[in-house]
Amino acid sequence: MPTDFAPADPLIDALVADLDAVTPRRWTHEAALLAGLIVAEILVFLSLNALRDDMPRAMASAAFWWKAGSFGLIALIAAAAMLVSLDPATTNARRLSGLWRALRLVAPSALALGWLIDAGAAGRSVLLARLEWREGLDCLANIGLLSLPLVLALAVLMRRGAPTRPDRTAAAAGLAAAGFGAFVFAFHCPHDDPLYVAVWYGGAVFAVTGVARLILPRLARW
Amino acid sequence: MIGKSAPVVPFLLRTSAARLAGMRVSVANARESQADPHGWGAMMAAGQRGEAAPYRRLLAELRPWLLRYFARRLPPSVVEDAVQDTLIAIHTKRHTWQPDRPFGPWLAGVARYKWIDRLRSASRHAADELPENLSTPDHESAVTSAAALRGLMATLKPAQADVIRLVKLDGLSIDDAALRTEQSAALVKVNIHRGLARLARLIESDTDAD
Repeated sequence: MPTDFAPADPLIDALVADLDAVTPRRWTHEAALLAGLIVAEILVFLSLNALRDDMPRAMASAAFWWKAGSFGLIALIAAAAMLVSLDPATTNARRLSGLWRALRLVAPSALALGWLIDAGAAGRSVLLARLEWREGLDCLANIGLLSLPLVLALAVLMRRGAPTRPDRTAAAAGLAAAGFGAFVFAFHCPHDDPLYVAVWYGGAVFAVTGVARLILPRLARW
Repeated sequence: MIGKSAPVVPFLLRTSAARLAGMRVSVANARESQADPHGWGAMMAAGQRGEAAPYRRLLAELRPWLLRYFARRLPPSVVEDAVQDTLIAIHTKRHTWQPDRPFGPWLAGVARYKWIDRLRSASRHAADELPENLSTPDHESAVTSAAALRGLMATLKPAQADVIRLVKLDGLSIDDAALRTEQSAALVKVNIHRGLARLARLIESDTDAD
């Protein structure tokens, strides 16, 4: 083959010598991996018989759907933004900045909606009692645990990808993992009190996102 | 210019049907070359399949492109490092390009990331001065050197832009720049550090900077 056009360049020689066939990344495969993990977590709950006992009643209540729906939605948008951001060509594309903006809008307003639902039932003296901090911390830890496999999977995807705004990609990864963790946990946790959910679920999502934002960029330097 | 003039006579001699067919082909070619003007996408696709020859050719053609890209955007002392760094990044991240997408934006995204990366690390080494024997091959490249960076520096505070220009682009020592700008040597370093870090942030957040 013609090599005369390329002057000797040790770096290019080394890179060509290192060449082997690669499979171009497909976001569909990556999304399927995430979906598989989420389904697996739900199956684990099912097999442990750990779904909440009052599932039929819960399915009829707005608070349950608010809880599962908002965290599921946050996670979906975050996961989409995260996967799109792994392609250097689209990091600055308009649709991505749209996703970031949606994220910034949806995440706080979903939680604020909880406070709004809550505003009807005031009664400051019972607030602390409603927080049930022992169970709350338990919830927080469980959501963290559930989001762990997802954070790891997203970290692997991030290392494999080429994020040009690593800080944002990492935050989106944390938000997606924690959001899906909270979504799965919603089927187990009997607490629908918006105050409880906003504080403990929100706290867990905030914590996981923060940790991912701090750690993932270091793991995914390129 | 002269070598590229089209063969007019054979074209006139063609029948209309052949002419139509020929036009269709040239339209298709034009569309293809618009999406992949240098054939780099095709070469990268071959590289992803493990074909060494087109891949070597791609890297050899990207090298001067990157050299020009970074010469306009970085202090001369770090241009070669940035080029090599980016070639390695292109190699290790080659699977992140999807063959059904244009290659140009992907390449630009990688190069831009490495540009910002270099500005950041230059800001961490604010006190480093240019090597004495920094070669300036010809007058033209000295004039166009870091042209895009110079343009962006207009958005900085004058105190920051001045010392970056003097030390990082024109190769003055920290002390000389301090004398020239009437800043203390410590302040010169601080201003270089802050200025370069601010430039990196500006470029990163500005979706159109290029």
